[in-house]
Amino acid sequence: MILVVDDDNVTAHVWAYLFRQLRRQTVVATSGAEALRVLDTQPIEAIVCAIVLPDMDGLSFIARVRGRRHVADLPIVVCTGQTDAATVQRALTFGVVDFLVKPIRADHFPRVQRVLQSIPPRWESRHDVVRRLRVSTPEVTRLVALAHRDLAGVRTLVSRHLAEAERAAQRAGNPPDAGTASADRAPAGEAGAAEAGVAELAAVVGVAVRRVRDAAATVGARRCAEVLGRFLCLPLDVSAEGLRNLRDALAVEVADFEAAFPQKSLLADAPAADVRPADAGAAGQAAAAAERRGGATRPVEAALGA
Amino acid sequence: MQTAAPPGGVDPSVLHAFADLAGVDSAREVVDVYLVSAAARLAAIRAGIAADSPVAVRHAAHALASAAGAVGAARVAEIARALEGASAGGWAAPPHATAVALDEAAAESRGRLAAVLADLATLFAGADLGVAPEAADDGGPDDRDFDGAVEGGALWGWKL
Repeated sequence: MILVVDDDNVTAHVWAYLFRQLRRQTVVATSGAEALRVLDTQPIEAIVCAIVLPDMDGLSFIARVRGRRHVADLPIVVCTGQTDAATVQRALTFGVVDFLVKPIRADHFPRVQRVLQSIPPRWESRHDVVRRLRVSTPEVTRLVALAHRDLAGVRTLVSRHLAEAERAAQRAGNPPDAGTASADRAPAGEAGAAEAGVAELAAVVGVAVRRVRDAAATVGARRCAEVLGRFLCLPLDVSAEGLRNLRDALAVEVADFEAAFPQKSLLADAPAADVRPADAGAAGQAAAAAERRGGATRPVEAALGA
Repeated sequence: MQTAAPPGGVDPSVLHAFADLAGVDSAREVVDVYLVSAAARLAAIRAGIAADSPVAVRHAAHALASAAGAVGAARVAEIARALEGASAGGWAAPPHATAVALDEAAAESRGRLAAVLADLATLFAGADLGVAPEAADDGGPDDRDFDGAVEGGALWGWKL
């Protein structure tokens, strides 16, 4: 799915028709704010954006994309009439993969096509998953449904903690971004308890995310596993901003599961797990059981055991 | 060497190239979108001049230049860019003459674009390389979507 950010609807239509030739779905946002909302809800693979937008500078938009962990790596093509050296220089600084000068022309098309061809697929092929797991195709579908349910459950868990963090911040009169990582703001006697609470929350969320990441890897959801892995590479950020970013990443990946398997009733029938600290969903429980048996948590075992 | 201005201020090669890629029907739809969009932008420019608002004129002229260029309406794009430049740092007096020239160029381009589409229809008759019929009526874009009427952002797309 390609995100086109341009308030010129003629250019946006041209892009959409061209992407249709490549059998790619197009989503159009006519402002930077809309585009950011799309990125927090839809599985976007690449962005084509203008520089002059009604609500923000296109380069500011790109900077904000680069600041969001779940979309920071998306290839961005700039298509604009602004061709001054400063604009080009700044765009290149943000790592845009191509800079196209408006008006949009036919010879722009192969350049964008090359960009799209370089995007790794979000999903491993079903055939490869079946061969790798040595199970039947229906079984893979069942595992996908379980992974989807766990993913949605972790999103619920993170959303709940985010809401709590925001409520706590409001009660304390702090801006929401001060979030739960507010040990430094607490009175001296409470600082230790607050730090312990943050560490506990990071551990709980971290375990849930790690397990759902493993389940995603098992069922071939490559992009999902890779994105969630980014949150685990570093100490998990459980500030309000960190939780918000994680929730958005999870929401996008849940949407991707639903887009990839819309025809599977299992997905619709499987209720979202209400994940609690001791209950990280079905795949997570299986992973925990594997750990208790003394083995390392292996993705395949986590998912198959569910 | 100076290139001769295209007849009617429209460069037909732009739509021809697009039709080669996406089909005549898509080219026709893009022109339809352009005509609606251009009318709105021209109205915004007139309103901006009447209100002595260089910012409004600059924004509308920028969008019009981009849209006109996308369908090959070179003269409209050129004048719109000039108007955008003239509005960039404010103005001593509203650019009435440029706005009138823009209106005239837009009117001229409408007829020429229709002629280019007719040429394309003839060229592609019986050999339309464009969108497969089964994919043509699939909830594609329309102006309602672009106006932001769709909840959650002005979004549209195709599920293929």
